[in-house]
Amino acid sequence: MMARERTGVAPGVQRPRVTVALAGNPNSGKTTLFNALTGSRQHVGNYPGVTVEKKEGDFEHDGMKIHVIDLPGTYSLTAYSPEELVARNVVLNEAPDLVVDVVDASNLERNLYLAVQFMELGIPMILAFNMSDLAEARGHSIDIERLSELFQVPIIRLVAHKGEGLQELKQAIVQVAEQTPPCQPTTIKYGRHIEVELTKLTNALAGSAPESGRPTARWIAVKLLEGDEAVIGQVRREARNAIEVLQKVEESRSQLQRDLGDDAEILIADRRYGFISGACQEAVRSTVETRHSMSDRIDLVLTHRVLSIPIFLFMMFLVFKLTFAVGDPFMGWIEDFFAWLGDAITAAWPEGAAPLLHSLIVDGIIGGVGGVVVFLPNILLLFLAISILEDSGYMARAAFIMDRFMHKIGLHGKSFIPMLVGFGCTVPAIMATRTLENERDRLTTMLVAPLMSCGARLPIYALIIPAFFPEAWYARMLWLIYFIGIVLAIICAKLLRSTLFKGETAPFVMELPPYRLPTVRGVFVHTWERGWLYLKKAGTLILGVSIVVWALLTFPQETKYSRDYDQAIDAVSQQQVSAEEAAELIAELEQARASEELANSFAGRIGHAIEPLIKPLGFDWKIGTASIGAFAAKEVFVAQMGIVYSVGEADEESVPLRDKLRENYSPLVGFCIMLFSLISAPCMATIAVTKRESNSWKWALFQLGGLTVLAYVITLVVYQVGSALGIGI
Amino acid sequence: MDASTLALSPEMEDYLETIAALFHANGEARVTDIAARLSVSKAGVTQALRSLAAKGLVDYRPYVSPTLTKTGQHVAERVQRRHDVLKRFLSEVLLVDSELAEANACRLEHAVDRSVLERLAHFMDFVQHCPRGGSKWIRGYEHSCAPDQETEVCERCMEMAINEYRNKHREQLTKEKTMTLAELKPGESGRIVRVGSVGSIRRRIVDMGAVGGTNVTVVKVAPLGDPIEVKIKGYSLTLRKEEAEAITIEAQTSQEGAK
Repeated sequence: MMARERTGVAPGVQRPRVTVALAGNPNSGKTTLFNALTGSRQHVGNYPGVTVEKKEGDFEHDGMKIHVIDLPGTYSLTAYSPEELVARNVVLNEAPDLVVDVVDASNLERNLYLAVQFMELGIPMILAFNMSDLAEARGHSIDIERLSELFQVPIIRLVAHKGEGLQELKQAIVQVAEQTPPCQPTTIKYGRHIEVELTKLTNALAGSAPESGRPTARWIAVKLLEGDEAVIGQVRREARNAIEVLQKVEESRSQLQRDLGDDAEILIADRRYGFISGACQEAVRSTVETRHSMSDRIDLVLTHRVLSIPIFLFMMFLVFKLTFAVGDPFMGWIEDFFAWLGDAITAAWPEGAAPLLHSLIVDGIIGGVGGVVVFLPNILLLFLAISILEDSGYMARAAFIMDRFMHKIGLHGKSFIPMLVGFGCTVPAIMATRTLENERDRLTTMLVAPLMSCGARLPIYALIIPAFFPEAWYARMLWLIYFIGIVLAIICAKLLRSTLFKGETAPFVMELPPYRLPTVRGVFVHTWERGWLYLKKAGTLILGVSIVVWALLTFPQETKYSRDYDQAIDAVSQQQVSAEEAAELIAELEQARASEELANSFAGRIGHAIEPLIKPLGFDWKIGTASIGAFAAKEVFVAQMGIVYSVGEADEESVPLRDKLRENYSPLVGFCIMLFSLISAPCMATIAVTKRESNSWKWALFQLGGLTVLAYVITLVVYQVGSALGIGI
Repeated sequence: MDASTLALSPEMEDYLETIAALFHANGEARVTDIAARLSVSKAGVTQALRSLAAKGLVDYRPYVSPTLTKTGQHVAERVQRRHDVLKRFLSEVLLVDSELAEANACRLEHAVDRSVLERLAHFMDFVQHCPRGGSKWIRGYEHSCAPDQETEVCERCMEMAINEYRNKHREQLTKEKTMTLAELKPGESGRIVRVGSVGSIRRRIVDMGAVGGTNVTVVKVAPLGDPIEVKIKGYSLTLRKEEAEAITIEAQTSQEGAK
């Protein structure tokens, strides 16, 4: 163990800033430690090009400013998953001064496997043995000094959620950071055969390894032997004698295959575990026989052969209820508040002054901000639920229970929650895909989630079904639409997996972490983080797009009216009619004017322009225009239809609008409208969130384009076949 | 005519060998090429070819490239094999430098009797595959050939050899006893022998601690029949059956299982 002498620094003396990379297995309590160290001074971003999140924070100890990079939680440092690649690239490229590896002391061997790989990177490190209390309760007594000696790394005992050992850890960070020369963790010996090959490779690499000594030639050699794609690529690009080196690698690999009868990467993993096993045998005493832990007993019920599925469905029901039933009143209040704010501004606005600015503020900005904030209750509540499920360990069980089914349809066990939440709202659904570790699973789920018919589409169905179908069919039609969405989602997922996301299915090999009581702080930090990220990243985008949509609906301003409405309205007020009649007449005129204005707006013009294109779907420009408005939010479709048909403010219960629809369209067209609304481009908030969560415009635009094309094709087929067969005309 | 009873001079054997080699490489053996290979005059080649033709080993007409008769091919093959065996013995067992081995093989091949040669081939086979010797033994010999090397610690070497033999032996023994992890029922345990399958799944499984020699117990099967939950290295891991099928295990004896 490290010497514990304190370097005497007078208070107030500034030391240089050091950077610490925080590493660890998933479920090792890394996030808890990160929160405990940095408190609220955190910053969340994304690593470029991948969907992996980058969390950073700062704290101070003994006058030293310490910057913490929270590496993604991983089990290993191979190049197979973006998380693992990111974790080691941070250490290699951002050159932190040291690594703090959080180790779940109650699950020592597997956790040390990652630690050993960090040690190989040749960077000073500290092992933080978290949950030491749990380890002791389980009867493992760990000789920390001995282990520390074997690894040549300081080890700090920690109970992160209680804050125990935090001060010691901070102190150790300062000491290790100041140590010169920097302390070097021990090197693992891989046995004679492998060492011989490693020596050959390090010799071949001499002069090609970076001067900074990070990574070391030995590390590169180990990675080459392991057949690590990323390192091979780098050597190919950068080493002078790349061809020679790679040739040697091949020779060494086949030599080892001959001598030891297995692939080099397996042999190396084997030796690492061997080294850890050896160390643990020396330093860990298990006094109690492994008995059924609390966790196993909970699992007897929660993953029970018969009970587990009802329990799972009940849990999902709770998540859904919590997100939407509890969230809806809040959403209502938010909507009311923004409506009130708009009205208040309208009331205070000097009559007739700058109508355009008024419209921009009330309809564009307030409407837009309202459109962003309105999702917040759902998102916060959903992530509250997800945090609890994840932190408690149930999420892994949910995946365990559902994987068979979800795997069949090309998704992962954990895709269930996003898909389910999609029935409420696609925005939180896409945010929930974050629980999926594998990028391919995550993107597939993200792209098909909009097909789960969200709550905002319900008003469209509620308007159309009664307009065209007999009452006895109401429920059946609604079911049919939802069912089509689900079937399409499954087909699309399958299709994506066999084309774009082809390749090896992601292994399901996954830890079932012991059940733990989630900490209030952890849950709230996580929930808040999601909400804040949504407002900051997706919110600004949504606001921007809603102003664009507002502009499309508002400009150009100069409308050539078919008649002079102002004059007609004046005329009404001079007629000898009752006040009621006059009001009605004026309202009719106003509605006709609004309808003409919309027809003349860019949205209306686009609607007209695309009419030839949507004609084969049975749609006219009015439906086209309303669909453009629906991009702001699906339910806007109803209001837009109300305007184009001059029936005033319409909602899904509007009888006059239904009459108009019935007059103008056949039931087949009505069905096609529903179908198109279900499948086509989700609302802009969905696209914005997809952009944010996939960290790329490519996928967001692919989702937008792909779903629109799909909607077009399916609606086209349905309309044409329906017309040909004379169904519902 | 029996090829083996033919008494041929070393020179004649060289001719046959060369013709065979050239034929193999170029599809024909021109007199010019033969002369160049053996560093003799073209006239000399013609004369030798006539003599070989007389023995029925070569088809030879003037101005046409010679070909080997069936008997000629047998003889050439025999000579070639003798050469190979000698060269391999020199380079792989005695660890003589390969150029030197080639040159010596050329000289030795004409002087060795067939029975001796066969013994030599057999011996080489034995050395390379005997559990007590094998390639390791030769490597030990290589070690001892190198100048200023300490003597190998024999005890350690013996120990390694025994371990290796046992492993090989056990592999053979357990071959019948092994099964895949997917075949275990809940509550049953086994020891991992090998993780098969290719690509990242394999690496992932090993990274999670499923290395050879580790004990693994199946805890339960998911309610829908797939994935399974196992205990390994003191924690719970879940994997699909198709992944579990890649893991070869040695079922624990009932005594251990009962514990």
